[in-house]
Amino acid sequence: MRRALRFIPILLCATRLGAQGVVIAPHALFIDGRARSGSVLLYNPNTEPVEVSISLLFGYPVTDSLGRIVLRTIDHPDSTMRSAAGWIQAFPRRLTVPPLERQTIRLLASPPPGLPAGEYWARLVIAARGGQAPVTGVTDTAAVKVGLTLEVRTIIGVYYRQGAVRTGVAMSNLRTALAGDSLVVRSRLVQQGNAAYIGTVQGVLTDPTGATRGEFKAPIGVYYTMEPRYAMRIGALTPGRYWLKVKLTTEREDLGPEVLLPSAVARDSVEVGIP
Amino acid sequence: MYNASKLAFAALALVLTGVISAQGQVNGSILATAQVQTPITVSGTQNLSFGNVFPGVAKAVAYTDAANAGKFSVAGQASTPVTYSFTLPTNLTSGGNNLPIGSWLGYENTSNSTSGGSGITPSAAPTSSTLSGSGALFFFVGATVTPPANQAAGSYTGTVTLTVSY
Amino acid sequence: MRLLSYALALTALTVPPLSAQRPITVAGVRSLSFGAVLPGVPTVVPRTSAANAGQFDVTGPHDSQAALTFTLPVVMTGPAGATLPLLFGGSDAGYSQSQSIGSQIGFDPKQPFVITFSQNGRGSVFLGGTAQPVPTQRAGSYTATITLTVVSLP
Repeated sequence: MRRALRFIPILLCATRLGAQGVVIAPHALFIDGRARSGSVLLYNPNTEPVEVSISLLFGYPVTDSLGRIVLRTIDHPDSTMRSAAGWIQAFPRRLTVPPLERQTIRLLASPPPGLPAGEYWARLVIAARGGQAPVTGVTDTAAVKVGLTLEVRTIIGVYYRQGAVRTGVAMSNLRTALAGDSLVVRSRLVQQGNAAYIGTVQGVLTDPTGATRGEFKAPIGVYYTMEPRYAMRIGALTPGRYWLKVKLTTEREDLGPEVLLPSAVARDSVEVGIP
Repeated sequence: MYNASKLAFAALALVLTGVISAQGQVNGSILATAQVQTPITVSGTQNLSFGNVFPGVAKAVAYTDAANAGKFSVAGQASTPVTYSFTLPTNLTSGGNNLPIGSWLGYENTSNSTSGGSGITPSAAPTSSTLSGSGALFFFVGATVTPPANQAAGSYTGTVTLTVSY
Repeated sequence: MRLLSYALALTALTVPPLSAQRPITVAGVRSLSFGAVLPGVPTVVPRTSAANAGQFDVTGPHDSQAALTFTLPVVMTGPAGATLPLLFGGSDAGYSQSQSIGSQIGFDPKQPFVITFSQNGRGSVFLGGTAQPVPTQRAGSYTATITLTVVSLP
Protein backbone atom coordinates (compact mmCIF):
# COMPACT_ATOMS: atom_id res chain seq x y z
CA MET A 1 0.00 0.00 0.00
CA ARG A 2 2.79 2.34 0.87
CA ARG A 3 4.47 1.52 -2.42
CA ALA A 4 1.33 2.24 -4.45
CA LEU A 5 0.85 5.60 -2.81
CA ARG A 6 4.38 6.55 -3.66
CA PHE A 7 3.70 5.97 -7.37
CA ILE A 8 0.63 8.15 -7.66
CA PRO A 9 2.35 11.52 -7.99
CA ILE A 10 4.67 10.16 -10.65
CA LEU A 11 1.83 8.87 -12.78
CA LEU A 12 -0.11 12.09 -12.47
CA CYS A 13 2.84 13.93 -13.96
CA ALA A 14 2.16 12.21 -17.26
CA THR A 15 -1.04 14.20 -17.69
CA ARG A 16 0.48 17.55 -16.86
CA LEU A 17 2.56 18.17 -19.94
CA GLY A 18 2.32 21.69 -21.26
CA ALA A 19 0.83 22.34 -24.68
CA GLN A 20 3.28 22.42 -27.54
CA GLY A 21 2.44 24.84 -30.29
CA VAL A 22 2.37 28.48 -31.24
CA VAL A 23 -0.30 30.93 -32.24
CA ILE A 24 0.22 31.91 -35.86
CA ALA A 25 -1.18 35.04 -37.45
CA PRO A 26 -2.28 35.78 -40.00
CA HIS A 27 -3.49 32.45 -41.28
CA ALA A 28 -3.12 33.68 -44.85
CA LEU A 29 -0.36 36.05 -45.90
CA PHE A 30 -0.76 38.41 -48.84
CA ILE A 31 2.40 40.02 -50.23
CA ASP A 32 2.18 43.09 -52.42
CA GLY A 33 4.50 42.88 -55.41
CA ARG A 34 5.61 46.45 -54.78
CA ALA A 35 6.70 45.73 -51.21
CA ARG A 36 7.95 42.20 -51.89
CA SER A 37 7.87 41.39 -48.20
CA GLY A 38 5.50 40.26 -45.53
CA SER A 39 5.58 38.93 -42.02
CA VAL A 40 3.97 36.30 -39.86
CA LEU A 41 3.63 36.68 -36.14
CA LEU A 42 4.27 33.76 -33.81
CA TYR A 43 3.15 33.87 -30.21
CA ASN A 44 3.91 31.24 -27.63
CA PRO A 45 1.02 31.11 -25.13
CA ASN A 46 2.61 28.28 -23.17
CA THR A 47 4.89 28.16 -20.18
CA GLU A 48 7.67 26.33 -22.02
CA PRO A 49 9.81 27.49 -24.95
CA VAL A 50 8.80 26.23 -28.37
CA GLU A 51 11.26 25.35 -31.09
CA VAL A 52 10.06 26.45 -34.51
CA SER A 53 11.33 25.70 -37.98
CA ILE A 54 10.05 27.33 -41.16
CA SER A 55 9.93 26.10 -44.73
CA LEU A 56 8.00 26.74 -47.92
CA LEU A 57 6.40 24.47 -50.44
CA PHE A 58 4.03 24.76 -53.38
CA GLY A 59 0.49 23.52 -53.08
CA TYR A 60 -3.12 24.53 -53.27
CA PRO A 61 -6.47 23.15 -52.11
CA VAL A 62 -8.36 20.83 -54.38
CA THR A 63 -11.23 18.43 -53.84
CA ASP A 64 -11.08 14.66 -53.99
CA SER A 65 -13.69 12.46 -55.61
CA LEU A 66 -15.91 12.73 -52.54
CA GLY A 67 -15.79 16.51 -52.52
CA ARG A 68 -13.46 16.76 -49.54
CA ILE A 69 -11.00 19.62 -49.63
CA VAL A 70 -7.39 18.47 -49.49
CA LEU A 71 -4.09 20.20 -50.07
CA ARG A 72 -2.34 19.13 -53.25
CA THR A 73 1.39 19.61 -52.88
CA ILE A 74 3.75 19.60 -55.82
CA ASP A 75 7.43 19.09 -55.12
CA HIS A 76 8.69 20.33 -58.47
CA PRO A 77 6.18 22.73 -60.00
CA ASP A 78 6.81 23.53 -63.64
CA SER A 79 6.84 26.99 -65.14
CA THR A 80 3.16 26.90 -66.00
CA MET A 81 2.17 26.72 -62.34
CA ARG A 82 1.68 29.74 -60.20
CA SER A 83 4.35 28.79 -57.73
CA ALA A 84 6.13 31.36 -55.62
CA ALA A 85 7.73 28.73 -53.40
CA GLY A 86 11.02 28.89 -55.25
CA TRP A 87 11.59 32.60 -54.84
CA ILE A 88 10.15 33.48 -51.46
CA GLN A 89 12.41 33.03 -48.48
CA ALA A 90 11.62 33.09 -44.80
CA PHE A 91 13.85 34.57 -42.10
CA PRO A 92 14.70 33.13 -39.70
CA ARG A 93 14.09 29.52 -40.58
CA ARG A 94 14.84 28.22 -37.11
CA LEU A 95 14.04 29.95 -33.87
CA THR A 96 12.92 29.43 -30.32
CA VAL A 97 9.92 31.35 -29.06
CA PRO A 98 10.18 31.90 -25.30
CA PRO A 99 7.07 31.53 -23.15
CA LEU A 100 4.50 34.29 -23.58
CA GLU A 101 6.65 36.07 -26.15
CA ARG A 102 6.28 36.92 -29.82
CA GLN A 103 8.60 36.46 -32.75
CA THR A 104 8.20 37.68 -36.29
CA ILE A 105 8.98 35.65 -39.36
CA ARG A 106 9.78 37.83 -42.36
CA LEU A 107 9.17 36.68 -45.89
CA LEU A 108 11.14 38.25 -48.70
CA ALA A 109 10.24 37.71 -52.34
CA SER A 110 12.70 37.77 -55.22
CA PRO A 111 10.47 37.11 -58.20
CA PRO A 112 12.04 36.40 -61.57
CA PRO A 113 12.36 39.39 -63.92
CA GLY A 114 9.39 39.97 -66.16
CA LEU A 115 6.98 38.06 -63.97
CA PRO A 116 3.55 38.46 -65.57
CA ALA A 117 0.81 40.13 -63.58
CA GLY A 118 -1.15 37.81 -61.37
CA GLU A 119 -1.14 36.01 -58.10
CA TYR A 120 1.50 33.42 -57.23
CA TRP A 121 1.17 30.93 -54.42
CA ALA A 122 3.23 29.16 -51.84
CA ARG A 123 2.55 27.44 -48.55
CA LEU A 124 4.40 28.34 -45.42
CA VAL A 125 5.10 25.39 -43.15
CA ILE A 126 5.58 26.21 -39.48
CA ALA A 127 6.74 23.25 -37.45
CA ALA A 128 6.66 23.64 -33.68
CA ARG A 129 7.64 21.38 -30.86
CA GLY A 130 8.19 21.85 -27.20
CA GLY A 131 11.19 20.67 -25.31
CA GLN A 132 11.79 16.96 -25.02
CA ALA A 133 9.08 15.55 -22.81
CA PRO A 134 10.24 13.52 -19.86
CA VAL A 135 9.62 9.84 -20.26
CA THR A 136 7.55 8.90 -17.30
CA GLY A 137 7.54 5.61 -15.53
CA VAL A 138 8.28 3.90 -12.32
CA THR A 139 12.00 4.13 -12.12
CA ASP A 140 12.69 1.43 -9.62
CA THR A 141 10.83 -1.43 -11.26
CA ALA A 142 10.83 -0.91 -15.01
CA ALA A 143 13.66 -1.62 -17.31
CA VAL A 144 11.95 -0.10 -20.36
CA LYS A 145 10.18 3.26 -20.37
CA VAL A 146 8.36 4.66 -23.38
CA GLY A 147 7.01 8.09 -24.27
CA LEU A 148 6.32 10.05 -27.45
CA THR A 149 6.63 13.75 -28.01
CA LEU A 150 4.08 15.59 -30.11
CA GLU A 151 5.04 17.92 -32.91
CA VAL A 152 2.68 20.10 -34.88
CA ARG A 153 3.08 21.48 -38.37
CA THR A 154 0.80 24.24 -39.53
CA ILE A 155 0.58 25.12 -43.21
CA ILE A 156 -0.81 28.47 -44.25
CA GLY A 157 -1.25 30.11 -47.65
CA VAL A 158 1.07 32.77 -49.04
CA TYR A 159 -0.19 34.89 -51.93
CA TYR A 160 2.17 37.10 -53.91
CA ARG A 161 0.38 39.67 -56.02
CA GLN A 162 2.19 41.07 -59.03
CA GLY A 163 0.64 44.00 -60.84
CA ALA A 164 -3.08 44.05 -61.59
CA VAL A 165 -4.88 41.08 -60.09
CA ARG A 166 -8.47 40.11 -60.47
CA THR A 167 -10.55 37.14 -59.47
CA GLY A 168 -13.90 35.53 -59.95
CA VAL A 169 -15.61 32.19 -59.88
CA ALA A 170 -17.95 30.36 -62.19
CA MET A 171 -20.43 27.97 -60.61
CA SER A 172 -22.14 25.16 -62.50
CA ASN A 173 -23.63 21.70 -62.10
CA LEU A 174 -25.27 22.49 -58.76
CA ARG A 175 -26.75 19.27 -57.47
CA THR A 176 -28.05 17.74 -54.27
CA ALA A 177 -28.52 14.36 -52.64
CA LEU A 178 -30.22 13.25 -49.46
CA ALA A 179 -28.01 11.55 -46.90
CA GLY A 180 -29.77 10.68 -43.66
CA ASP A 181 -31.01 13.86 -42.03
CA SER A 182 -28.85 16.04 -44.25
CA LEU A 183 -28.88 17.46 -47.73
CA VAL A 184 -25.56 17.09 -49.49
CA VAL A 185 -24.73 19.92 -51.88
CA ARG A 186 -22.08 19.90 -54.56
CA SER A 187 -21.28 22.14 -57.49
CA ARG A 188 -18.44 22.73 -59.88
CA LEU A 189 -16.41 25.86 -59.19
CA VAL A 190 -13.90 27.26 -61.64
CA GLN A 191 -11.61 30.12 -60.71
CA GLN A 192 -11.57 33.11 -63.05
CA GLY A 193 -9.00 35.84 -63.57
CA ASN A 194 -5.39 35.64 -62.44
CA ALA A 195 -5.83 35.31 -58.68
CA ALA A 196 -7.37 32.78 -56.33
CA TYR A 197 -11.00 33.27 -55.44
CA ILE A 198 -11.05 33.78 -51.66
CA GLY A 199 -14.52 34.13 -50.27
CA THR A 200 -17.49 32.51 -48.61
CA VAL A 201 -20.01 30.00 -49.89
CA GLN A 202 -23.55 30.10 -48.53
CA GLY A 203 -26.50 27.87 -49.22
CA VAL A 204 -30.13 28.23 -48.18
CA LEU A 205 -32.92 25.70 -48.59
CA THR A 206 -36.40 27.18 -48.68
CA ASP A 207 -39.81 25.57 -48.71
CA PRO A 208 -42.68 26.54 -51.02
CA THR A 209 -43.66 29.37 -48.64
CA GLY A 210 -40.18 30.82 -48.77
CA ALA A 211 -39.30 29.78 -45.23
CA THR A 212 -35.72 28.70 -44.60
CA ARG A 213 -35.47 24.98 -43.81
CA GLY A 214 -31.72 24.57 -43.86
CA GLU A 215 -28.56 26.50 -44.53
CA PHE A 216 -24.80 26.31 -44.55
CA LYS A 217 -21.96 28.78 -44.72
CA ALA A 218 -18.23 28.16 -45.05
CA PRO A 219 -15.07 29.91 -46.14
CA ILE A 220 -13.72 28.81 -49.49
CA GLY A 221 -10.70 29.28 -51.71
CA VAL A 222 -10.88 28.30 -55.38
CA TYR A 223 -7.48 28.07 -57.03
CA TYR A 224 -8.25 26.18 -60.21
CA THR A 225 -11.26 23.89 -60.30
CA MET A 226 -12.98 22.10 -57.46
CA GLU A 227 -16.25 20.42 -56.54
CA PRO A 228 -16.61 20.76 -52.79
CA ARG A 229 -19.21 18.89 -50.81
CA TYR A 230 -21.34 20.57 -48.16
CA ALA A 231 -23.93 18.96 -45.94
CA MET A 232 -26.74 20.88 -44.31
CA ARG A 233 -28.89 19.34 -41.63
CA ILE A 234 -32.51 19.52 -42.67
CA GLY A 235 -34.14 16.97 -40.37
CA ALA A 236 -37.49 15.52 -41.37
CA LEU A 237 -39.07 17.69 -44.04
CA THR A 238 -42.55 17.40 -45.43
CA PRO A 239 -42.40 15.79 -48.85
CA GLY A 240 -42.55 18.34 -51.60
CA ARG A 241 -40.58 20.72 -53.77
CA TYR A 242 -37.96 22.93 -52.19
CA TRP A 243 -35.43 25.37 -53.58
CA LEU A 244 -31.75 25.47 -52.84
CA LYS A 245 -29.97 28.74 -53.49
CA VAL A 246 -26.20 28.89 -53.36
CA LYS A 247 -24.06 31.99 -53.63
CA LEU A 248 -20.37 32.78 -53.43
CA THR A 249 -19.16 36.16 -52.28
CA THR A 250 -15.71 37.61 -51.66
CA GLU A 251 -16.61 38.49 -48.10
CA ARG A 252 -14.64 36.96 -45.26
CA GLU A 253 -14.76 37.79 -41.57
CA ASP A 254 -11.35 36.31 -40.92
CA LEU A 255 -9.51 38.45 -43.47
CA GLY A 256 -9.22 42.20 -43.65
CA PRO A 257 -11.09 43.81 -46.54
CA GLU A 258 -7.84 45.29 -47.83
CA VAL A 259 -6.58 41.87 -48.90
CA LEU A 260 -9.82 40.58 -50.39
CA LEU A 261 -10.23 40.97 -54.13
CA PRO A 262 -13.75 42.06 -55.02
CA SER A 263 -15.79 40.09 -57.48
CA ALA A 264 -19.36 39.80 -58.59
CA VAL A 265 -21.51 37.47 -56.54
CA ALA A 266 -21.86 34.05 -58.14
CA ARG A 267 -25.32 32.51 -57.73
CA ASP A 268 -27.07 29.35 -58.69
CA SER A 269 -30.19 27.54 -57.57
CA VAL A 270 -31.76 24.15 -57.99
CA GLU A 271 -35.06 22.55 -57.16
CA VAL A 272 -34.92 19.87 -54.50
CA GLY A 273 -37.50 17.16 -54.28
CA ILE A 274 -38.10 15.67 -50.84
CA PRO A 275 -39.85 12.28 -51.15
CA MET B 1 -13.86 110.13 -32.83
CA TYR B 2 -13.47 107.70 -35.68
CA ASN B 3 -9.74 107.49 -35.07
CA ALA B 4 -10.31 107.05 -31.34
CA SER B 5 -12.62 104.12 -31.99
CA LYS B 6 -10.05 102.49 -34.26
CA LEU B 7 -7.42 102.91 -31.59
CA ALA B 8 -9.68 101.38 -28.96
CA PHE B 9 -10.46 98.42 -31.22
CA ALA B 10 -6.80 97.89 -31.94
CA ALA B 11 -5.97 97.99 -28.24
CA LEU B 12 -8.74 95.51 -27.46
CA ALA B 13 -7.46 93.19 -30.16
CA LEU B 14 -4.01 93.42 -28.63
CA VAL B 15 -5.39 92.45 -25.25
CA LEU B 16 -7.15 89.44 -26.72
CA THR B 17 -4.00 88.37 -28.48
CA GLY B 18 -2.15 88.59 -25.22
CA VAL B 19 -4.78 86.39 -23.53
CA ILE B 20 -4.58 83.77 -26.24
CA SER B 21 -0.84 83.77 -26.00
CA ALA B 22 -0.68 83.53 -22.26
CA GLN B 23 -3.69 81.36 -21.49
CA GLY B 24 -4.44 79.78 -24.86
CA GLN B 25 -5.64 76.31 -25.52
CA VAL B 26 -4.64 74.31 -28.51
CA ASN B 27 -5.34 70.77 -29.58
CA GLY B 28 -3.40 68.20 -31.52
CA SER B 29 -4.41 64.70 -32.48
CA ILE B 30 -2.84 61.42 -33.39
CA LEU B 31 -4.31 58.06 -34.29
CA ALA B 32 -4.24 54.84 -32.37
CA THR B 33 -4.02 51.97 -34.82
CA ALA B 34 -4.07 48.20 -34.68
CA GLN B 35 -4.29 45.42 -37.21
CA VAL B 36 -6.17 42.41 -35.90
CA GLN B 37 -5.14 39.20 -37.57
CA THR B 38 -7.05 35.97 -37.31
CA PRO B 39 -4.69 33.34 -35.92
CA ILE B 40 -4.52 29.60 -36.14
CA THR B 41 -3.12 27.49 -33.36
CA VAL B 42 -2.23 23.85 -33.61
CA SER B 43 -1.04 22.41 -30.33
CA GLY B 44 0.08 19.12 -28.94
CA THR B 45 -1.69 19.16 -25.62
CA GLN B 46 -0.74 15.78 -24.19
CA ASN B 47 2.10 13.48 -25.06
CA LEU B 48 1.40 9.85 -25.85
CA SER B 49 2.76 8.05 -22.84
CA PHE B 50 3.23 4.33 -22.29
CA GLY B 51 5.01 4.55 -18.99
CA ASN B 52 6.68 1.27 -18.15
CA VAL B 53 6.67 -1.64 -20.52
CA PHE B 54 8.12 -5.08 -20.03
CA PRO B 55 10.18 -7.03 -22.56
CA GLY B 56 8.04 -9.52 -24.42
CA VAL B 57 4.76 -7.89 -23.35
CA ALA B 58 2.93 -5.67 -25.81
CA LYS B 59 1.29 -2.61 -24.35
CA ALA B 60 -1.48 -0.56 -25.91
CA VAL B 61 -2.65 2.93 -25.10
CA ALA B 62 -6.12 3.58 -26.45
CA TYR B 63 -7.06 7.00 -27.80
CA THR B 64 -9.76 6.99 -25.15
CA ASP B 65 -7.15 6.81 -22.40
CA ALA B 66 -7.61 10.26 -20.91
CA ALA B 67 -4.33 10.19 -19.04
CA ASN B 68 -1.98 8.69 -21.60
CA ALA B 69 -3.36 9.13 -25.14
CA GLY B 70 -1.76 11.71 -27.37
CA LYS B 71 -3.91 14.81 -27.78
CA PHE B 72 -3.83 17.66 -30.26
CA SER B 73 -6.02 20.70 -30.57
CA VAL B 74 -6.65 23.11 -33.42
CA ALA B 75 -8.11 26.59 -32.97
CA GLY B 76 -8.95 28.87 -35.87
CA GLN B 77 -11.68 30.48 -37.87
CA ALA B 78 -15.10 28.89 -37.50
CA SER B 79 -16.19 26.35 -40.10
CA THR B 80 -12.89 26.47 -41.93
CA PRO B 81 -12.01 23.35 -43.92
CA VAL B 82 -8.59 21.95 -43.11
CA THR B 83 -6.50 19.05 -44.28
CA TYR B 84 -4.64 17.00 -41.71
CA SER B 85 -2.22 14.13 -41.64
CA PHE B 86 0.00 12.38 -39.15
CA THR B 87 3.63 11.42 -39.41
CA LEU B 88 4.11 8.37 -37.24
CA PRO B 89 7.21 6.52 -36.13
CA THR B 90 7.51 2.79 -36.64
CA ASN B 91 10.18 2.51 -34.00
CA LEU B 92 10.99 4.38 -30.83
CA THR B 93 14.65 4.77 -30.05
CA SER B 94 16.91 4.74 -27.06
CA GLY B 95 20.49 5.26 -28.06
CA GLY B 96 21.02 2.74 -30.79
CA ASN B 97 18.13 0.50 -29.75
CA ASN B 98 14.71 0.36 -31.35
CA LEU B 99 11.32 -0.49 -29.93
CA PRO B 100 8.55 -1.22 -32.45
CA ILE B 101 5.36 0.80 -32.32
CA GLY B 102 2.27 0.45 -34.49
CA SER B 103 -1.47 -0.27 -34.60
CA TRP B 104 -2.19 3.43 -34.53
CA LEU B 105 -5.77 4.42 -33.87
CA GLY B 106 -7.23 7.87 -33.59
CA TYR B 107 -10.30 9.99 -33.16
CA GLU B 108 -11.30 13.43 -34.30
CA ASN B 109 -13.94 15.60 -32.76
CA THR B 110 -15.05 19.21 -32.71
CA SER B 111 -15.24 19.01 -28.93
CA ASN B 112 -12.57 17.93 -26.48
CA SER B 113 -14.02 14.47 -26.01
CA THR B 114 -13.69 10.97 -27.41
CA SER B 115 -17.39 10.66 -27.96
CA GLY B 116 -19.60 12.33 -30.49
CA GLY B 117 -16.86 12.52 -33.10
CA SER B 118 -15.46 9.92 -35.47
CA GLY B 119 -12.66 7.42 -35.53
CA ILE B 120 -9.72 8.03 -37.84
CA THR B 121 -6.77 6.10 -39.14
CA PRO B 122 -3.76 8.23 -38.29
CA SER B 123 -1.58 6.43 -40.80
CA ALA B 124 -3.92 7.29 -43.67
CA ALA B 125 -3.24 9.83 -46.39
CA PRO B 126 -4.07 13.48 -45.73
CA THR B 127 -7.71 13.80 -44.78
CA SER B 128 -10.10 16.72 -44.73
CA SER B 129 -12.06 18.01 -41.80
CA THR B 130 -13.80 21.19 -40.76
CA LEU B 131 -13.37 23.32 -37.69
CA SER B 132 -16.43 23.64 -35.50
CA GLY B 133 -18.75 26.60 -35.39
CA SER B 134 -16.47 27.99 -32.70
CA GLY B 135 -13.33 27.17 -34.67
CA ALA B 136 -12.16 24.10 -32.75
CA LEU B 137 -10.95 20.64 -33.66
CA PHE B 138 -9.39 17.92 -31.50
CA PHE B 139 -7.43 14.80 -32.29
CA PHE B 140 -6.69 11.83 -30.05
CA VAL B 141 -4.18 9.10 -30.90
CA GLY B 142 -3.22 5.80 -29.37
CA ALA B 143 -0.90 2.99 -30.40
CA THR B 144 0.67 -0.28 -29.33
CA VAL B 145 4.29 -0.94 -28.53
CA THR B 146 5.62 -4.47 -28.92
CA PRO B 147 8.94 -4.85 -27.14
CA PRO B 148 10.62 -8.15 -27.91
CA ALA B 149 11.71 -10.42 -25.09
CA ASN B 150 15.27 -9.20 -25.43
CA GLN B 151 14.39 -5.51 -25.45
CA ALA B 152 17.28 -3.54 -24.02
CA ALA B 153 16.58 -1.40 -21.01
CA GLY B 154 16.28 2.35 -21.50
CA SER B 155 14.02 5.31 -22.12
CA TYR B 156 12.54 5.06 -25.61
CA THR B 157 11.27 8.15 -27.33
CA GLY B 158 9.80 9.21 -30.65
CA THR B 159 7.76 11.98 -32.21
CA VAL B 160 4.19 12.06 -33.48
CA THR B 161 3.67 14.92 -35.90
CA LEU B 162 0.30 16.38 -36.82
CA THR B 163 0.25 18.53 -39.95
CA VAL B 164 -2.71 20.83 -40.43
CA SER B 165 -3.10 22.78 -43.62
CA TYR B 166 -5.34 25.78 -44.04
CA MET C 1 -14.85 108.46 -24.65
CA ARG C 2 -11.45 109.94 -24.03
CA LEU C 3 -11.31 108.05 -20.73
CA LEU C 4 -12.12 104.83 -22.52
CA SER C 5 -9.33 105.44 -25.01
CA TYR C 6 -6.89 106.11 -22.22
CA ALA C 7 -8.00 102.98 -20.41
CA LEU C 8 -7.58 100.81 -23.48
CA ALA C 9 -4.20 102.30 -24.24
CA LEU C 10 -3.07 101.69 -20.67
CA THR C 11 -4.30 98.12 -20.85
CA ALA C 12 -2.39 97.59 -24.05
CA LEU C 13 0.77 98.74 -22.41
CA THR C 14 0.47 96.04 -19.75
CA VAL C 15 0.48 93.25 -22.32
CA PRO C 16 3.98 91.90 -22.90
CA PRO C 17 5.46 92.49 -26.32
CA LEU C 18 4.38 89.93 -28.89
CA SER C 19 7.99 89.01 -29.61
CA ALA C 20 8.32 87.58 -26.10
CA GLN C 21 5.21 85.40 -26.43
CA ARG C 22 6.10 82.21 -28.32
CA PRO C 23 2.69 80.86 -29.19
CA ILE C 24 1.71 77.53 -27.82
CA THR C 25 1.36 74.84 -30.41
CA VAL C 26 0.81 71.12 -30.36
CA ALA C 27 1.35 68.79 -33.26
CA GLY C 28 0.63 65.09 -33.57
CA VAL C 29 3.88 63.53 -34.76
CA ARG C 30 3.42 59.77 -34.61
CA SER C 31 0.48 57.44 -34.15
CA LEU C 32 0.21 55.07 -31.25
CA SER C 33 0.66 51.89 -33.22
CA PHE C 34 -0.16 48.48 -31.83
CA GLY C 35 0.77 46.74 -35.06
CA ALA C 36 -0.37 43.17 -35.51
CA VAL C 37 -2.72 42.14 -32.74
CA LEU C 38 -3.97 38.67 -31.95
CA PRO C 39 -7.52 38.06 -30.72
CA GLY C 40 -7.52 37.43 -26.99
CA VAL C 41 -3.92 38.51 -26.53
CA PRO C 42 -3.40 41.97 -25.00
CA THR C 43 -0.77 44.06 -26.76
CA VAL C 44 1.15 46.61 -24.72
CA VAL C 45 2.99 49.55 -26.25
CA PRO C 46 5.28 51.24 -23.70
CA ARG C 47 5.61 55.00 -23.92
CA THR C 48 9.33 54.42 -24.42
CA SER C 49 8.81 52.47 -27.64
CA ALA C 50 10.49 54.54 -30.34
CA ALA C 51 8.66 52.68 -33.08
CA ASN C 52 5.16 52.38 -31.64
CA ALA C 53 4.53 54.99 -28.93
CA GLY C 54 2.38 57.96 -29.87
CA GLN C 55 4.13 61.32 -29.94
CA PHE C 56 3.07 64.95 -29.80
CA ASP C 57 5.44 67.90 -30.05
CA VAL C 58 4.50 71.01 -28.10
CA THR C 59 5.90 74.52 -28.01
CA GLY C 60 5.24 77.42 -25.71
CA PRO C 61 6.79 80.39 -24.00
CA HIS C 62 10.07 79.38 -22.43
CA ASP C 63 9.95 78.67 -18.73
CA SER C 64 6.18 79.01 -18.76
CA GLN C 65 3.79 76.32 -17.64
CA ALA C 66 1.04 74.54 -19.47
CA ALA C 67 -1.49 71.87 -18.60
CA LEU C 68 -1.72 68.77 -20.74
CA THR C 69 -5.06 67.01 -21.03
CA PHE C 70 -5.72 63.96 -23.15
CA THR C 71 -9.00 63.00 -24.69
CA LEU C 72 -8.62 59.23 -24.72
CA PRO C 73 -10.80 56.79 -26.65
CA VAL C 74 -11.95 53.66 -24.87
CA VAL C 75 -12.12 51.65 -28.07
CA MET C 76 -10.73 51.60 -31.57
CA THR C 77 -13.19 51.12 -34.40
CA GLY C 78 -12.73 48.54 -37.12
CA PRO C 79 -14.56 46.74 -39.90
CA ALA C 80 -18.34 46.76 -39.83
CA GLY C 81 -18.34 48.87 -36.68
CA ALA C 82 -16.41 46.32 -34.64
CA THR C 83 -14.62 47.80 -31.64
CA LEU C 84 -11.37 46.92 -29.93
CA PRO C 85 -11.00 47.99 -26.28
CA LEU C 86 -8.15 50.30 -25.32
CA LEU C 87 -6.65 50.77 -21.88
CA PHE C 88 -4.36 53.50 -20.59
CA GLY C 89 -2.46 52.97 -17.38
CA GLY C 90 -1.39 55.44 -14.74
CA SER C 91 2.05 55.95 -16.25
CA ASP C 92 1.35 55.50 -19.92
CA ALA C 93 2.13 59.12 -20.78
CA GLY C 94 5.48 60.85 -20.54
CA TYR C 95 6.85 64.34 -21.04
CA SER C 96 10.33 65.17 -22.21
CA GLN C 97 11.70 68.70 -22.11
CA SER C 98 14.56 67.56 -24.30
CA GLN C 99 12.19 65.85 -26.74
CA SER C 100 14.05 62.60 -26.12
CA ILE C 101 12.01 59.43 -25.80
CA GLY C 102 14.70 58.09 -23.53
CA SER C 103 14.28 60.90 -21.03
CA GLN C 104 10.69 61.18 -19.93
CA ILE C 105 8.75 62.03 -16.82
CA GLY C 106 5.84 59.66 -16.63
CA PHE C 107 2.33 60.76 -15.81
CA ASP C 108 -1.24 59.53 -15.86
CA PRO C 109 -2.80 60.41 -19.20
CA LYS C 110 -6.25 60.36 -17.59
CA GLN C 111 -5.33 63.30 -15.36
CA PRO C 112 -4.25 66.83 -16.30
CA PHE C 113 -0.49 67.22 -16.07
CA VAL C 114 1.38 70.50 -15.74
CA ILE C 115 4.61 70.92 -17.64
CA THR C 116 7.21 73.66 -17.75
CA PHE C 117 8.57 74.55 -21.14
CA SER C 118 12.32 74.48 -21.48
CA GLN C 119 14.49 77.42 -22.43
CA ASN C 120 13.95 76.72 -26.09
CA GLY C 121 10.21 76.43 -25.55
CA ARG C 122 9.91 72.93 -26.95
CA GLY C 123 8.92 69.57 -25.55
CA SER C 124 7.49 66.21 -26.52
CA VAL C 125 4.71 64.13 -25.08
CA PHE C 126 4.78 60.37 -25.51
CA LEU C 127 1.90 57.97 -25.06
CA GLY C 128 1.73 54.22 -24.67
CA GLY C 129 -1.26 52.00 -24.00
CA THR C 130 -2.75 48.53 -24.13
CA ALA C 131 -4.99 47.06 -26.81
CA GLN C 132 -7.24 44.37 -25.37
CA PRO C 133 -8.79 42.39 -28.22
CA VAL C 134 -11.41 39.88 -27.22
CA PRO C 135 -10.95 36.25 -28.27
CA THR C 136 -13.54 36.70 -31.01
CA GLN C 137 -12.11 39.97 -32.29
CA ARG C 138 -12.88 40.43 -35.95
CA ALA C 139 -9.93 40.71 -38.32
CA GLY C 140 -9.14 44.05 -39.90
CA SER C 141 -7.77 47.52 -39.31
CA TYR C 142 -8.85 49.45 -36.23
CA THR C 143 -8.30 53.13 -35.52
CA ALA C 144 -9.21 55.79 -32.98
CA THR C 145 -8.30 59.41 -32.46
CA ILE C 146 -6.33 60.62 -29.46
CA THR C 147 -6.38 64.33 -28.78
CA LEU C 148 -3.96 66.28 -26.61
CA THR C 149 -5.12 69.65 -25.36
CA VAL C 150 -2.48 72.09 -24.15
CA VAL C 151 -3.63 74.97 -21.98
CA SER C 152 -1.06 77.64 -21.38
CA LEU C 153 -0.96 78.74 -17.76
CA PRO C 154 -0.11 82.33 -17.01
